Amino acid sequence: MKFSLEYLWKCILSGIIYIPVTLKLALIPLALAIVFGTLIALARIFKVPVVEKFFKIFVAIYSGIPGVVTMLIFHLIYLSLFKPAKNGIMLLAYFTFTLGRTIVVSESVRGAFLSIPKGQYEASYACGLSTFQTLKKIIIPQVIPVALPALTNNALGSIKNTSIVLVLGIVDVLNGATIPCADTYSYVEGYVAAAIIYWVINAIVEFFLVHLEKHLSKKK
Amino acid sequence: MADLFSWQRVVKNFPILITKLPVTFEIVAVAFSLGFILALLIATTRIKKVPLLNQILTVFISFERGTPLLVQMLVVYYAFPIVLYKAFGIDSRRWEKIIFVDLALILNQGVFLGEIFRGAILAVPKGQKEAALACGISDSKAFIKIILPQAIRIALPSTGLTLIGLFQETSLVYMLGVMDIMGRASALGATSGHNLESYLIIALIFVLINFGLTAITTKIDKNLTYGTKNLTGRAA
Repeated sequence: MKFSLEYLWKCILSGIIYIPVTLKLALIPLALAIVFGTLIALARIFKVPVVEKFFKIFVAIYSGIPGVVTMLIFHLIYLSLFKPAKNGIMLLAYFTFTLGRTIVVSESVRGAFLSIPKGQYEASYACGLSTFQTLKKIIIPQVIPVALPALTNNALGSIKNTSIVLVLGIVDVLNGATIPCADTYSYVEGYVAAAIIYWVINAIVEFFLVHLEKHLSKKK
Repeated sequence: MADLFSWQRVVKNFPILITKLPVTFEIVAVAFSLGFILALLIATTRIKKVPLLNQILTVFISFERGTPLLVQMLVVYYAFPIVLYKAFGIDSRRWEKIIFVDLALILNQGVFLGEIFRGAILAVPKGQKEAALACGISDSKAFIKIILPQAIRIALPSTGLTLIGLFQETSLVYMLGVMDIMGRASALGATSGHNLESYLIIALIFVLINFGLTAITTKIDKNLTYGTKNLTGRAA
C-alpha cells in the first residue's frame, strides 16, 4: 500500500490523451439535447394534442431510471439486434447520453418557459404578433437568462455523467488514466489522476459558463 | 436473438432481485442521514466563515462538484485505506466494501445538501433577522423561530430532488463489487447469459421508487406552501 507521485504523473499524462473522447461524449449529446429538449418543452407548453401526453408520461418514466441501467439495457439490445460495427459502441453511448440529457434539458427549459408570466403572451398577441414572433421576440429573450444557470449544471452534469461508459469499455479519461496501472496493479494513482483531470475540466467549463451568465444578465 | 426476452425469466428473477433491495435502501438511509448531519456542519461553517475550515471546504466542495460520483467512489475505495494505514496504522483491507461506498456517498450528499442549506438560509432576507433582534428576541431564538422555518420551506424541494437522485446514484455501487440489486442482476446474467429481464425489473423498481418519492415531496411541498402566492401571481 503506497502512493507514488511519479506514477500519478504518468497516469495523468495517459488520461489527458483521452480528454477529447470525454468532451465529445459530453458536448455532442448536450448540443443535441438542447435542440430536442427545447422542442419537447415547447410541445408540452403549447399542449400539442397526442405529443404532449406522450412526452409527459415518457419523461416521468424515463427520468426515474438510472443512467447505468438504461445504458446496459440499450447495450444488450444493440448486441443482440445489430451487427457489430466499428463505431457501434460509441454511437450507442451518444444515443443513450442524448436521450437521457434531452429529458433533463426539456424539464429545465420547460421550467424556464413557465416562469414567464402569461400576460407576456397575451400582451404580444393583443399587439398582433404571431405565435412564432411572440416566441422569438418576446419570450425566448426572457427565457435564456432564466435557463442559463440550469444549463451550466447540465453541462457539468453531462461531463461527469460520461464516466459511466466504463461499463461499455470505451476508453475515456477514467479508463485512459488507469492504463499505466495495468503494469503494477496499483490502481490508486490512476483513479486519483482521473479525478484531477475531471476536476480541472469542470473548473474550466464552469468558469466560462458562469462568466457567460454574468455577461448576459448584465445586458438585461 | 429470439431468446432476448422471456416472461418466464422475469417471473423467476423478480423474487431473487427483490431480496437485494434492502441493500439499496440501507445505503440510501446511511448516506442521506449522515450526509444530512455533515451538510448541517458544512453549511454552518460556510455561513459563519470559520477561518481555515472555510477555505478547505471551498476546495473540497469544488472537488466533489467537479468529479463524477463514480470516480469519487473509486478514489475513496482505493485511496482511503492508504490514508488510514499511513496515518493511523489501521489495516482496512478486510473491511466490507459497502463501508467505502457509504463514505463516498456521505461526503457527496454532505456537500450537495450543505450547499442547498446554505443557499436556503442565506435566501431569507436579512431584514427578518434585524427585525427579530429589534423586537428583543435573542440571537439563537431568532434563528430557530424566524429564520429556520422560512429556510426549511426554501430548502425542501431541492432536498427532495437530491434524495431522488441519490436513489439513482446507488445503481453505481455494483461497479465496486457491492452486492446490491444491480450486482445481483449482473451475477444472474453471468450464470444464465440473460441480463435484459433483470435490468428491466430494476428499471421498473427504480421508476416506482421515483414516483413514490416524487408524490411524497410534492405533497409536503404543497402543504408547506398552502395559502401562499409566489411573485408571478400564480397560486402556488
